[in-house]
Amino acid sequence: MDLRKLKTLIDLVQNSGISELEISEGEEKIRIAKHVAAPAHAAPATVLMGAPAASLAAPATEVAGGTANTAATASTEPEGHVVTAPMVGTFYRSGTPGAASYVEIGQAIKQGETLCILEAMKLMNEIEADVSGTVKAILVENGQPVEFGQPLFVIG
Amino acid sequence: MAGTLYESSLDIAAVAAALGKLARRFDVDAVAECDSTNSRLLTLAETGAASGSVLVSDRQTAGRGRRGHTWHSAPDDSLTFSVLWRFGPESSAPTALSLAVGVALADAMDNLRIDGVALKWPNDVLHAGRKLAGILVELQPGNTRSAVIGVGLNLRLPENLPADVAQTAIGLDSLGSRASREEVLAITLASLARTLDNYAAGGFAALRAAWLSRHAFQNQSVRITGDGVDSVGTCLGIDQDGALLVATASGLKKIIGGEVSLRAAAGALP
Repeated sequence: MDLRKLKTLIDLVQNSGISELEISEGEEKIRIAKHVAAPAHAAPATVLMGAPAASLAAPATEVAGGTANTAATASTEPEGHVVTAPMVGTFYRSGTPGAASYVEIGQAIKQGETLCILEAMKLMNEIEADVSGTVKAILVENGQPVEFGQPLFVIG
Repeated sequence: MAGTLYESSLDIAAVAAALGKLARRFDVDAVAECDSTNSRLLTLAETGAASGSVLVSDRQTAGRGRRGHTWHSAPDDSLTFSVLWRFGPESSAPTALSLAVGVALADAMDNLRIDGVALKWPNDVLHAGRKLAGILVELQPGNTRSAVIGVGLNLRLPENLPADVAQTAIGLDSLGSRASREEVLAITLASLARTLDNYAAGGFAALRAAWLSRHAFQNQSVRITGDGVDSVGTCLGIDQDGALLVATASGLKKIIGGEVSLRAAAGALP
């Protein structure tokens, strides 16, 4: 299955109410599972594409097991310290609309520096880096809602 | 507090006297001028200031509204203060705190015998559609159980206020209040203590009915705009967590935040 088709399927799952999608095409089998509440995963949708023989041989529940999922996401997310959301809210990368972002990818930061603001019902929560390092990844787009425990930044 | 040219005109002893028994729950300090009472208290919070620490400023030079929007503040025209409030060790982030403070302010207005105060989601206190008070709540970074509550309450509108602001704001004096700044502060702090105790004990669910009874837009036609949203619908109030509920043609919308603006869809203000 080509990558474009795969991406279309991921988007389909991501934007739908379904949590899992499994498709068999000839010998190929693809299973896409969405992990809404799992804070350890950055991407809302996780894709597993096993070797056809293995997928067919193993029961579906084993294929979607935790170890396999972690392996799948680890390859797309840089390793490092993950800063998570301490509350639900809207994610803002700057203090005022139009202002420069607090941090950019690749920027060196010190512990205690502001990374972003979370806002819920006009309750403002400045999120500070709890470790020093380099911003490896910013996992949420400006203005997007985040859930409690959702990964926001990776600091390496 | 050191570093200011003039002393505040606030009579702290009079505030304590008006607070009575509740005075022990607050530690009131006042300055003539500072950049932002919220910023100052957030700094004090980091160094371990106690719950109930209050900072009043006659004038704010960098008073912050939501996400940097400024509000007008001049000596004696307004009561501008911040309160540090610490919740218990097991508490989760008090996400509906802006709404809870709105309930406290509306109750305080009752105690000042001012009728007709309404709440607009999430953090405005109105009278006949005009803004009487604004609220800005900030959590201490790294500690979601510690909050700084900023309040700006209009006592009287300055004469030189720009016309567009004067039309959308209202002061306590024009609503018949003769209370001093000290009395207004004491009554507001007492109301905050009572309301926040209820919030700590029962969560926002314990305050939801009180908020709804003051809701400016209950069951009214509203328009929500901003952050890629532009919907018209009927405002159904708020849920147990304080999220705004609007019934639109495309279904029930639940709004917890974002740069959204809420107003009557058409016609008269609430």
